Amino acid sequence: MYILQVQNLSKSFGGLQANRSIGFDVAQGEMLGVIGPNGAGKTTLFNCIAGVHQIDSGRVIFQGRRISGMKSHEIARLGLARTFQIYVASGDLNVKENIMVGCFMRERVRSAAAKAADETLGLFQISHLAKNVVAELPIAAQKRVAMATALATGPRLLLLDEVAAGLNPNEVDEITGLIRSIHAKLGVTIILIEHVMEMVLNICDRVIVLDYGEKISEGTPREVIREPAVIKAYLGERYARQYLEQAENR
Amino acid sequence: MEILRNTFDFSDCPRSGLVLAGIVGLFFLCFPLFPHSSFAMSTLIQFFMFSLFAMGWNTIGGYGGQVDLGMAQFLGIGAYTTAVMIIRWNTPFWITLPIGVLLAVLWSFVIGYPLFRLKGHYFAIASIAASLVLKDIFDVWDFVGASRGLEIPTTRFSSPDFLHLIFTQDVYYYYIMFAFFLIGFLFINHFRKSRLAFQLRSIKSNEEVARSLGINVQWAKMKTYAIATSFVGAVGCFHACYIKNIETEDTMGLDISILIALMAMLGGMGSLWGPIVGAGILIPLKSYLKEWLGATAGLVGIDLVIYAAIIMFISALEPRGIWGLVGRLGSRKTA
Ligand SMILES: Nc1ncnc2c1ncn2[C@@H]1O[C@H](COP(=O)(O)OP(=O)(O)O)[C@@H](O)[C@H]1O
Ligand SMILES: [Mg+2]
Repeated sequence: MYILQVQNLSKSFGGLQANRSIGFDVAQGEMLGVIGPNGAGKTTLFNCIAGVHQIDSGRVIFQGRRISGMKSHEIARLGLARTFQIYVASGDLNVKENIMVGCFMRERVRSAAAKAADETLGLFQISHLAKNVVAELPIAAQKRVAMATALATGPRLLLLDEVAAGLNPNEVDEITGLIRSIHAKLGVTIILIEHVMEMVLNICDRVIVLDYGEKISEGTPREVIREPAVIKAYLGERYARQYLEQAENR
Repeated sequence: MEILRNTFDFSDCPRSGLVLAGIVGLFFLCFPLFPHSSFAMSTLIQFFMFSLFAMGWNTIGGYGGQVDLGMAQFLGIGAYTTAVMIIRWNTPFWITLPIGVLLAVLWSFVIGYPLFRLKGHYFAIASIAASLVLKDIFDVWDFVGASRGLEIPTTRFSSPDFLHLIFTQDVYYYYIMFAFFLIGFLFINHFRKSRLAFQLRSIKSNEEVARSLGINVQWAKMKTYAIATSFVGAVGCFHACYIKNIETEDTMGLDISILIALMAMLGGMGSLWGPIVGAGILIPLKSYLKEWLGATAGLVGIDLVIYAAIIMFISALEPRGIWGLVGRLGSRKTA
């Protein structure tokens, strides 16, 4: 049973073709990685799936229902949540209130939203930050808040856009563990865009690789890092060998 | 049940502030019993009225971040509805009130639908334009008295007429407006904890993120605009009976719209107490300036100078207004 099917998706901005007939399926409960060089069209792909952009052609089917053409808030309400690569928290909402906004998608009254937010705070181990303003937190904590807020809407599918970017190796390990635990505990399907290959190798069941808006490869992490096209476009010889060794040793 | 609890729950406000608010409230309740000038009385009535305007503005402007500079058009709709209905058909005020509010809300949907597709400064400018267009229409529309305006003939009623809200003594208007004020205040106390308020604050922070959290941004803004405009429209209805002599310049002028926005900004946007604090500062200031300088022609522009200074104060010192300043000083003390 596929939770998401992307078929022949194309999107261009003026003369720039950011996504060229991309197609892939995501199984229920899967953890799918999306990798590729900067400007490959990964974030654009998320925006097309989540309804931020109207796509030029193709279809996106979520839980058996066509969502391409729907508005982004409608898609969110169907159970598709996402984080943003550049998360701008400029408002006066504190951490808990931010998460409550997510909870309010399903809850109608404040006491219920507050209770649900407390649970999410605990799950992400940020209860002690509840009263802080998001913009004043260190980047790692901000990423947690962004993930917690998205997850608070109770999604079936979660899109994570570079949640490990800008984190030190320790923090990467922590957030990797966190993603793994929410995946296991809540049974939510996850697609993640990531440059931190250790993380991708660690937790993804399957990976798709984008380059110049095109899907150039698809397979298990071990498979794609062996592919010459992927090595040429993205990984480079040296890193590919290194990642391969890591993968073998695991 | 939850609604009722939220309405009367102030537990998140500091104890000392609540005591102060209680004392001030008690003063308002007893004020007419003490000897006072009619000038002080009318200033306080104005204060209640503008507090409500600013509270209404604060829902969409403060919580939602949509700076509206055309609130006076809804004041005009309320005032003209009540005046026309009382003059032409002798309709009781309490029937004109819901109709005036309904018309204000309907108009808010008509202009809100296109306006909320605009962002930032464009929204502010478009709201000014909409308000001025409506004023121009009222200026030439004979049914509402065109440029002559409307006058409710007081001789037709024997004061105190509670049905039509026609009184010769201001004390009646005072208590009625005070009741409006309390109801509005309690409503805002409920509103600020509502789902809609959280959605608005999320919209103010980042619309794209808000959408990704399932929020229908356009609809949330329109719902809130309806709340804001019903505040302004309701007080507009009252304004007609209180002033009795309605002209477009006094009810729908740009200066009123700006004053309303300025009060909320000065007091503190997106806070429960801010609009009241703002009105509490600007209304006496406006009244006394008029009293002192009213006769001195040529100096009338001084109020504009003061407003400009206030805008500079807010943008430079404390974007969250006086309430933000109080909060900052308070937290420094406890820290
Ligand atoms: N809203 C937009 N308008 C115009 N061009 C865009 C827009 N979003 C992305 N692009 C362009 O599309 C290409 C792909 O960008 P993006 O999807 O952000 O890449 P990635 O996330 O893989 O780094 C880039 O060349 C980028 O400049
Ligand atoms: Mg990107």
